[in-house]
Formats: sequence, C-alpha cells, structure tokens
Amino acid sequence: MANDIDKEKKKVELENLGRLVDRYAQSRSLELLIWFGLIVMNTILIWESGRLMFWKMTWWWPWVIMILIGVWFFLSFWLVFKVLKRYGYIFYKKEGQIELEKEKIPIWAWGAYLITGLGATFLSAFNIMPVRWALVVFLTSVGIFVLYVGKKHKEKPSAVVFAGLALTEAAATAAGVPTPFMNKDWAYSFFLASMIYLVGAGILAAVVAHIYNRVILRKIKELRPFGEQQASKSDS
Amino acid sequence: MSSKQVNQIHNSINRVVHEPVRLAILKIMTSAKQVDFNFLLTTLGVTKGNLATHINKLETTGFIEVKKQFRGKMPHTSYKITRTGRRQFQKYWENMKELAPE
Repeated sequence: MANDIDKEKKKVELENLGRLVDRYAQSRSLELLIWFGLIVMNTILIWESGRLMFWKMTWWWPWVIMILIGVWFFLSFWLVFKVLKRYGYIFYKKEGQIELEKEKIPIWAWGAYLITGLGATFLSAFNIMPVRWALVVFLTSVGIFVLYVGKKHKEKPSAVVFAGLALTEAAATAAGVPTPFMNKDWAYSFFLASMIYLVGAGILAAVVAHIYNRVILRKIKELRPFGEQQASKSDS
Repeated sequence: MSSKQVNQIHNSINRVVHEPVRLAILKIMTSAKQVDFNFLLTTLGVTKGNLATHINKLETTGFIEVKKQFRGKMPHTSYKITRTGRRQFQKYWENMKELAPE
C-alpha cells in the first residue's frame, strides 16, 4: 500500500515537473523585445521615408524610395532572425536551453491573416473603409492570428497577453472609445495608431511573460528536492 | 492479479528508466525537441557529476542522443530523446499503471 502511494506520488511529482517545464519553456519572451525594438525602428524609418518620397518631383523617385524601404524591411527582419538564431541563447544562458517541438503555421492561416489584416490597411489607405473600422478589423485579425501562432509555436503566455490587449483595443475602438493618432487628418493615422498598439502591447506582453517565466522557474526550483534526493546516491 | 503476473510485470520494468532522476530527464525530454545540460541542471537541481552519469547511462542504452556543436568557440551539447527512449518511457508508465491501478 505504502509502495503504491509512493508510486502515485512520484508520478504526480513528475507530471507537475513536466507541466512546469513546459510552461517555463513557453514563457521565454526576452527575444521578443528585440523584435518590437525593430518594429519601432522601422516605423520611424517609414515615417521619415514618407516625407522623402515627395522630395523630388519626378515619377521615378517615390518608386526608388519604396524599393529601398522594401529591401531594408526584408534585410532588417532577416538579419535579426539570423542573429537571434545564432546568439539568442545568450538571453537564457544561465538557465540553459530548451527547444520545444513547433508546429508549422498552415498557409490558410497566413492567407486569412494577410487578407483581413493587410486588406483593412489598404481599404483604409484608399479611403474605402473608415480608419476606425479598419483598425478594428486589423487588431482583431492580429489578435486571433497571434493566439493561433502562440499555440502552434509554443509561446502561449506572451501570445495570450498580446492577443488579449489587441482584442481589447479592437473592442474599445469599435465601441467608440477615442484613440490617439487615429482621427488626425493625414495619411499615416491608421499606420501610426496600429503600430503604437502593436509595439506597446508587444513590449508589455514580453515583460509580463518574462515575469511569469521567473515565477515558474521559482516553482521548479521549489520542486528540486525531488532531484536533489538523488544527488548523493551513486548510480546503479 | 496473480502473484505470477505481478512478478512478470515487475521483471519487465526497465531498470534504466526506473530511477527518479533518469525518469525526470526523460519526462522533460518527451515534451521538448532538445535540451542542453545547463537546462537539466537548473530544472533538476542535481550535481553536475550525477547528471552526467545519468545522461551517460541513458545515452549508452540508446534512450537519448547527444548533439555536439560549437557556438562561436564554445562547445555546446544538447540532448534529444530517441524513439526507443520515448517507447520505453511510455511502456514504463503502462507497467506501473498495471502494478498500481487507479
């Protein structure tokens, strides 16, 4: 009987450890700060490039600027992706690395996100859809897509916080809560408003998930005696 | 369950898996693509020597595989559970369940 209880206890301890390790691994979010830093930089770049486009009154000048922005956009994301893949381990070097099995995002999910998210952006840019409703559609699309990606890529905590903020903002915008930068009468109102929400929600999500990560790590360390009991035993 | 059956199950329990630290290592590895030595040290709280011995045991039995690579000039070792390891881990719990049904 006592033996059975021991077995059950051991199993429960192991299940707890497995669950905590999974949560801990999923809540490593410091790398996200680099991505949102990059979005800030690119937002400023696009903002300034917009003015540069009208600097020369020739037909080809805006195209040159747009191509340069496109190349920079691609290069910046590609470069950060490469650097993080190579040196990203530095963020959690002390605690060691764990890589979870990620699932691929199906093409239909990308398609749905691009159609709704970017579709709203274009409809707003061409004055077909009011800025307010375009922002609602865009934020809802981003929120749902991030939730889905978070589940597939095993980054649930930051995805839940980020998506929660995006969806709350979408609901608030739909309800008519006044939002900064949105009703300005110029071309960038949608872009700037959406970028501010995304970057703000992203940084907040990364910080919250990181705090959660520390809490989980402390819980894992509290569970440690299960392992430490064996530290002095010789291996059979 | 007769004592003969209990003995049979008892004998079929894998002794390599039936050790708390190794069991915990396998449990962590079942949900991960790969983990490194430091991560196992952090989560299990065992000594380096102890962990190395258990990992060595799991490696020699073919339950985990070792991947050695360089990060810059620093060597980095990570571990991954094999199909055999995953199967043995599952089989172990099935046996334990038979011995102590819920």
